[in-house]
Amino acid sequence: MKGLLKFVLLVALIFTILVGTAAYGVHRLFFNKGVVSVHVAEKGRYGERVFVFLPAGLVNAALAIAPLASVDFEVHDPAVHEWLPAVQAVLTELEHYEDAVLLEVDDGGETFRLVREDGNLRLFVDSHDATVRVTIPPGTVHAAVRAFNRL
Amino acid sequence: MRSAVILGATLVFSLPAFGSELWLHIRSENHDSRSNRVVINLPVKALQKALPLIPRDVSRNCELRINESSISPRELRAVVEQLRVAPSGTEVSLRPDGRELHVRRDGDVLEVSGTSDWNGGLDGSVKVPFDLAEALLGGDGDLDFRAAVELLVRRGTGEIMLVSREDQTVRIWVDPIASAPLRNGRVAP
Repeated sequence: MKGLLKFVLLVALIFTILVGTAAYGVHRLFFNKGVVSVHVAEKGRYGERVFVFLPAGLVNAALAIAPLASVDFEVHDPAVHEWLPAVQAVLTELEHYEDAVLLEVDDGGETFRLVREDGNLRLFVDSHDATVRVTIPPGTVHAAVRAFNRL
Repeated sequence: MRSAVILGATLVFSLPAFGSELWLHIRSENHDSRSNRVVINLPVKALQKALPLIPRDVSRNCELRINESSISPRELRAVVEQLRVAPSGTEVSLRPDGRELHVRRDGDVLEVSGTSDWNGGLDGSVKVPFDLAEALLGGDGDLDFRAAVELLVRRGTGEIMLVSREDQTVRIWVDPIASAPLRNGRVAP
């Protein structure tokens, strides 16, 4: 009986170590770069709510290997590509500054706000139909710019 | 003597640090019924780093537009040269596109304004510090944005441009404050 207890304890210990190591590895790999979140809330009594929460490390890895060439975005426009180095320079420099509202557009009741907060870029849209909140860690912004540069 | 040296050294070393913390603010407000508003806040140093990377076509194709009339950098450079040596209050008239524009130097300010009989009574004016206009027009061809931003860093806090129209105001200025007072200590709503 004593031997069986020892065996069970050993198995539990090994299991705990394996699960702990795996959890730590996943955290190191994906979550230590922050979290990308998207929150959409439709207005009105029966408005839908969508909340997407993704580890930034996973998004960065996806952006690095995603076949973006097949996506028909405005980024295919050469003018957009010409501006990317300047955008990247501004984003890199912003990492050294305090939290601030970078851009705010108020168009007759509809508001768009781009802010830097807690090191992340945050986007807020408040329209007549819905509110949208997007949080992007700086590493993911750079990964997105690099991905567009590959196109 | 020693305290004077320390004070001098402190000033010399604090000036670049002060310059690097400056923020450029742009605020555009429409005074019509929809009350549109656009606010942009960016560190001046970020602009300094981004300027060499901006496509050449941007500075090459820049021109000053007031209402429906435009002045090329070459035309404005010639007028600024003329006003530099003229006494304060001197005004020069231009007729780009057949419409009359007035360029006036009032002390340290350069003002470009349209006449009130334009465009159904709408008129507008642009005011910029004279030395900034000189820096911007300092090159031979394109607008020299790099020289203008370097001047902003040296000047520190102050007004850069005020565009006034009947229905719209655009103000550009530099100060060490990142953005408008935060709500509950946070920038997010």
